[in-house]
Amino acid sequence: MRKSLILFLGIGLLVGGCDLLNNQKPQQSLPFNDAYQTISVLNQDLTGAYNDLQDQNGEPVGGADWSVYGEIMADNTNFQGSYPTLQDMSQHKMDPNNGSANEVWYGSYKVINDVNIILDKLNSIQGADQADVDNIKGQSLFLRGMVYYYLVNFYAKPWVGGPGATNSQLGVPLLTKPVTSAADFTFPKRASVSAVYTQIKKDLSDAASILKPATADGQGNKYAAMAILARVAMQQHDYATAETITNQIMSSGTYALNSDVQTFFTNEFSPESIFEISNTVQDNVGVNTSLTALYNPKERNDIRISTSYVQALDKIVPQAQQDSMAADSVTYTDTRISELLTGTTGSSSSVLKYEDYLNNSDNAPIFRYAEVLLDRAEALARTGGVNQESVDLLNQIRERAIKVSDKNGNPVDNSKYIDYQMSDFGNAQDLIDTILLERRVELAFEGQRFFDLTRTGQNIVGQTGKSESFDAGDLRFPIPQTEMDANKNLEQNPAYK
Amino acid sequence: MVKKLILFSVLFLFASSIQVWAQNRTITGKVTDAKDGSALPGVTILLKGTSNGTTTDPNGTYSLEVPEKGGTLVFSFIGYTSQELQIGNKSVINVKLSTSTTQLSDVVVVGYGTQVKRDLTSSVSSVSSSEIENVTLPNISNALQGKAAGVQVTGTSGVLGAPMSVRIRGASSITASSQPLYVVDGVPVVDQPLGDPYGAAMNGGVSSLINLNPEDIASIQVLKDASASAIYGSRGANGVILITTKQGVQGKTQVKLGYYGGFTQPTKKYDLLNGPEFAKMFNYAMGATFGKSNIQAYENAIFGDYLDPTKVPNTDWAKLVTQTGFTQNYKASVSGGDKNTRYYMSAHYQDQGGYIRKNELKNYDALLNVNQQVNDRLQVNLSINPSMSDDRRVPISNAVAAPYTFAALEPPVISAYDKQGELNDATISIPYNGYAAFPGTPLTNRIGTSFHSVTTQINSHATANYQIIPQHLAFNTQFSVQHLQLRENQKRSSKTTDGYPNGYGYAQNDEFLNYSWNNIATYTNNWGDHNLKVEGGVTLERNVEHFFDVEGNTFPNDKFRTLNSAANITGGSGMITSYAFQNNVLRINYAYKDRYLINLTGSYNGSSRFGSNNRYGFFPAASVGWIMTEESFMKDLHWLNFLKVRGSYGITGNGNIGNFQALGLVGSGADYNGIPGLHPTQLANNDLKWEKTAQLDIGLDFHLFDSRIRGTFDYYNKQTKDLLLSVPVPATNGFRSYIKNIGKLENHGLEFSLEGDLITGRDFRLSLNGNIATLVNKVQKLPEGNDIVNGANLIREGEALGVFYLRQYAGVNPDNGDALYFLNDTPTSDQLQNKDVFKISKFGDRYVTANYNAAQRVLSGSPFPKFYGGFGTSIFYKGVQLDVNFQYQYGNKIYWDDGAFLETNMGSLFNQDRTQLNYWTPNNKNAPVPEPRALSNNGRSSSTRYLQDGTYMRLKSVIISYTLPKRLTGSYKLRLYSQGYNLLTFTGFKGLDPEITPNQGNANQGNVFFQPPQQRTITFGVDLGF
Repeated sequence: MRKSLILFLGIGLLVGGCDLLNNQKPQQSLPFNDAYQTISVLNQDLTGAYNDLQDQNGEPVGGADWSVYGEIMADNTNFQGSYPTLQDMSQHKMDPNNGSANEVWYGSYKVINDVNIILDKLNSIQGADQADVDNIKGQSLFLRGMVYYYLVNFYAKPWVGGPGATNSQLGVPLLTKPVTSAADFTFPKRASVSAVYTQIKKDLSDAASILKPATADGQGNKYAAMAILARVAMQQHDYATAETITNQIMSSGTYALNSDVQTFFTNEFSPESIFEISNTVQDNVGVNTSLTALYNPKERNDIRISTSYVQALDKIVPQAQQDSMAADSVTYTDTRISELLTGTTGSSSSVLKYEDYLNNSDNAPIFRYAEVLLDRAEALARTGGVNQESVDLLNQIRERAIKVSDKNGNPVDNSKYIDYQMSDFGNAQDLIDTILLERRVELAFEGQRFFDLTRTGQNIVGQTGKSESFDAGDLRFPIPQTEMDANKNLEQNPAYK
Repeated sequence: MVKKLILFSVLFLFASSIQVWAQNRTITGKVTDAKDGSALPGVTILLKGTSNGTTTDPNGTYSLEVPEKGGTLVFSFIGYTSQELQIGNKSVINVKLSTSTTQLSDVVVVGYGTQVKRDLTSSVSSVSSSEIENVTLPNISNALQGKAAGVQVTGTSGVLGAPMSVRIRGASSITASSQPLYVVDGVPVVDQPLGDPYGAAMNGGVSSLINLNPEDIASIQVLKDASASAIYGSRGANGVILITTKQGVQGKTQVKLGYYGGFTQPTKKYDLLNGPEFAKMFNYAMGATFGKSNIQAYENAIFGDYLDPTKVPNTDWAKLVTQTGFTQNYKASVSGGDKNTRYYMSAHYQDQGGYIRKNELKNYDALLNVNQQVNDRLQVNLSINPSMSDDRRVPISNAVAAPYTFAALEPPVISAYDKQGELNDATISIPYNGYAAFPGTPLTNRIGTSFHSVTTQINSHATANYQIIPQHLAFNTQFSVQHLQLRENQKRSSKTTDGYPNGYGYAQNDEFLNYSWNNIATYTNNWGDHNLKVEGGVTLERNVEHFFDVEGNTFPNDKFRTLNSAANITGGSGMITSYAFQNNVLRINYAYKDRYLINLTGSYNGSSRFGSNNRYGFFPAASVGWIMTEESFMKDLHWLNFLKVRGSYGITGNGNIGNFQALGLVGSGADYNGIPGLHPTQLANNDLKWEKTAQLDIGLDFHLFDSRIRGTFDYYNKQTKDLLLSVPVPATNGFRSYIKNIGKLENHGLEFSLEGDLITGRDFRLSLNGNIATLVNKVQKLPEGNDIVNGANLIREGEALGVFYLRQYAGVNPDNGDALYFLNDTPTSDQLQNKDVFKISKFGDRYVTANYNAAQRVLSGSPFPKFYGGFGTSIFYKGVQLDVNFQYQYGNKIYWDDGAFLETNMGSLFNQDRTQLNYWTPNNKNAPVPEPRALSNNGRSSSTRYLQDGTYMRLKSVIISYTLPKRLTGSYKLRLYSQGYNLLTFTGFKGLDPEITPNQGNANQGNVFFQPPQQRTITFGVDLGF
């Protein structure tokens, strides 16, 4: 009798045990199959892709890296911090274990896979509102195109020649298929720069054609896709396309310059903002590599302005304009210095564009309207020589930035003093150089300088004083060592072999 | 329905067990030492087959009630041979016990049961309470250090409450944890470290085992081979550590009181540059980088002031963050009982002060073990062990705010105080504009950081043991609950590195509820020459974890400490996770003629952690033993008292991976601009299962010369397959790794331990003990044979797991001070033409290069020791006892990442080790240190420059004690003692402590980064017993 009871007991436990094992379920994740089934969940997946782009806890590719690396690789900044990996980057002495550079690779492909999954799963969604489908699809394509743009420009030698030129130099692996299980793994080779650009242009054009002019704050819309397309066109020296796109953005009337230079940085998503990546308090931005921590003088402040940048500032108001102001006893202030820098002493002055030192949650500026104006001014000058529209666009930027006041300190009409006239430029190159100088000062510390130098084929004089050709090997990021180890099909950049 | 049935059955068992009381009579007697006739107090007398027993009083006398029908009495005492005597019709039984310390009759706790040591056929190492009592142990796992052959116990850091890293017979996994399973009084316990690691490598935090009071522990057994651990199935592959707490024994009430106090110091501090030395080297480095002619201009621009070696501050940061810590410990226990009720109760309070300022750990705990003999057949037992540890922690290792790290890195030329004598705070700690990389100083961090973790724990279990057929069939059911909770509060002031500029606060609550139910039936039968014992049953276990945390910043000022004062709540999370195990066990022990032993063990084991296709597995093991000294042909060998050969083979598993790793998951927490988002976090693998380890063990146990010399020898070979491997995949796939069962790994080695009582007189005794274990670890198979590189470590077929794989540092180029690396490759013609690669006589016929990227990585040594162990001696002379224990390890490499900061010839703007002063200059071309070049990498990249030999020998403990003679203390026992812990270390290792292994996974083992060294402790204490 007792024995059979114990037997009962044992069987009871066995049955209970099976239930116990099967009843343990995750509480903060969804199984893969449940996470892409409806349009509303796909919307959350899209938000997740933006999060991965921004991710300050993981690889803050778009949240900080693009903006920081695009500067410290070039000549506006002087990197003085102790971060060895950023130090090495700023001195063009990276190695394949450079964790900071590697973040760009890891994080970019994470975002690419996020959107590849979304794009794939969208195909099987049925009965959804087409507007929702287009929005998710358009934004996914926008993200993918933009991420590839930065990837190829950090890892590969820059585009050479016009849009039709063959650029067979090694680009980056091109992945457009989703990976949702081990069966999907691939070991890709690096695609050519031409192939990558083709994909970027396709993604961004498709995105621009289906996206609405307005989306949620911090997300890409029709004009954001077009703006990045304009940047791609400029990289490819395709000025006709750049003219067309910039014209479309401008004539839409959606954007305008803010009334002063600092508003863009103090107010998120201002009228001048075409695309910025949101960093919020809750994103837990560390004190280490956020834009604010690196730039703000109340923080680590590893990045200072360079002597080279100070020299550029000195050239912004040419002698003739200074003379005319002196004659009228008026003085000028470049608000890009007075409002956005702590001073003009190379190496010890800091940048004030990233002001939220309490939370390190400044958004990353990716594209603002001023760049559209400068792109258009430059493109027109390159195709049509000295022309009135380019000069007007240039003056529009200057009038906002450079304030003129009389000896009592009262503001006076600055256009009379700081505007350029067509007659100021002897030839197209004069005008182009002036636009590029204005561009450098206007967009400084926002991550564009490195790409502007490489697309214009200028030498890069980094902070060590060494001058290097725009396509020098050590100006390219190394493919991460872990990636080289995991994928035998990859070829390392020559400087790191 | 099932639950009701179970309840009913249990009730029935209880009800049916009430029976008529039997008639009793009383036996009395005296136990004496066979050698000198002196009375032996504390001898345990047990009626065989029951738990009815008592102990002798200080005069060696006893009295015990036994049934009218008599039975057999077992007399046992540690250090003496046990004796069994038939009661018959005697009423007085006097016994002489002899000191031949065979230990063979000791009962050893094995999984879900006990066994007599003599009959063991598996490999089990034991540490008894006498080796644990009175020793100041930082963690219970320290009790095994150097004592158990093949068990490697290392600290993860020298801060109080730090978890330990324990490896039994090498590392048999790459990604899953290699920590053994901890079982306390039959209950598997949560041993994972809790709390914010704050700089520590993964699994930093507070060890939940610190709540266990070493004083309450009766024994620790380490189950090493498959035969011993297979009963724990999918959790047995790393070995099992069984901890048994003390129980009361029948007899006179015993009271023990004890106190010790002492102080702690670090075992090592770095010898760093002082202010003037730093300034001098720094000036040279600036000149070398920016040109001698520009140096003045550059420094004026960037650094404000020239670093004048005669005027710079000279701050000894280490001094500002360290201290001599004071430690004290109070303990009290009372035990005793009568025939029906026995109890053990204890209370304990400990206040430890670490050598890092503000590091303090207070432990409070109590234990109550009650055994009640309800009737002849039913015994119930209740154990309650509440405890609390109040840990004032400090960040360690890889956090700037970590005092021991930051104090080594912060240049001495920064002042701790400003000219007004105020703390040099975040904004003014940058005297050389652009110089100090971090806000705050080690001093502001020390003052402004509060890091407080309180762990409360209740371990309790209730057990009922019912003799269904007395002497033959018993049923044992045990229900246990472990409730473990950590509450942690952190505040970092506005002047700290991580709290700048407006203060930062963090709080978390992490709670585990772990309950298990073990049901085991035991059948024993002895007939003729046959002894049979069969145990079988079912156990269930469930563990649920609830976690949440909150963080915020922007406090009104530094006086506000809790998060309700934070203007910004910047983050928070909540998490619930769980796992369950089910284990069906069966064990058969059979002995023939007391000399041929067979043990068969099997467990059918399920875990919620594994894929739906592989939820259950079967883990069998078999072992045999032959006690050769029982054979007549060996009876003539009088010097050989005991010889047993044994062998075992079996399969165990390792399921120490996270919960839900088999599922493809899309996780939350991917919010963007305040909108919740989802992103893929894990790929599915329904086939995921435990790692399988097949282990062969062949062993020999022997006693020589009246058991004065005792030894054990083991050979083991562990073959682990189906390794749960996080396989790196190209990041282009959107994932950087993927977990699957792939790969094979082998550990094999020899273990030998020997102890000898060389002199065994009444007034003078001398004994020696020692053990050594060799270890060969080899990766046998990897996915597609591909190497896996993890930082400085490599996983490659045919090599030890995590062998170091580094560029080989050659030395200094005497011509220009460049750091050179061996090329380890055939140079290309371009490299030769550009003089990128060349030969220098100094480095013989090998190509060297200053181009780090051109040099190839080579295998540079194994993180596993070739052998390790410990040895010690115990000397007794007229009441004075001296115990000395050493511990050693030989032949492992350690990657010393501290060096990439401290020995960079001023390539990073951190303070430097004093060895760096002998640097290359045009006037010192044969210097061993490359030319200092500020803000420039001249040799500081990861290379063999920072790879170190981890061989060491450490004087682990010295205890000297004096027990006052009985003629002075009467029935009281008074013992005075002093103890030193980690007194001396002999090593060539440059880092802080060769005995520190951060728990960062086997693939990355042997990497250290400013883990604070272990503490050196010296204590004085007194014990009083009556």
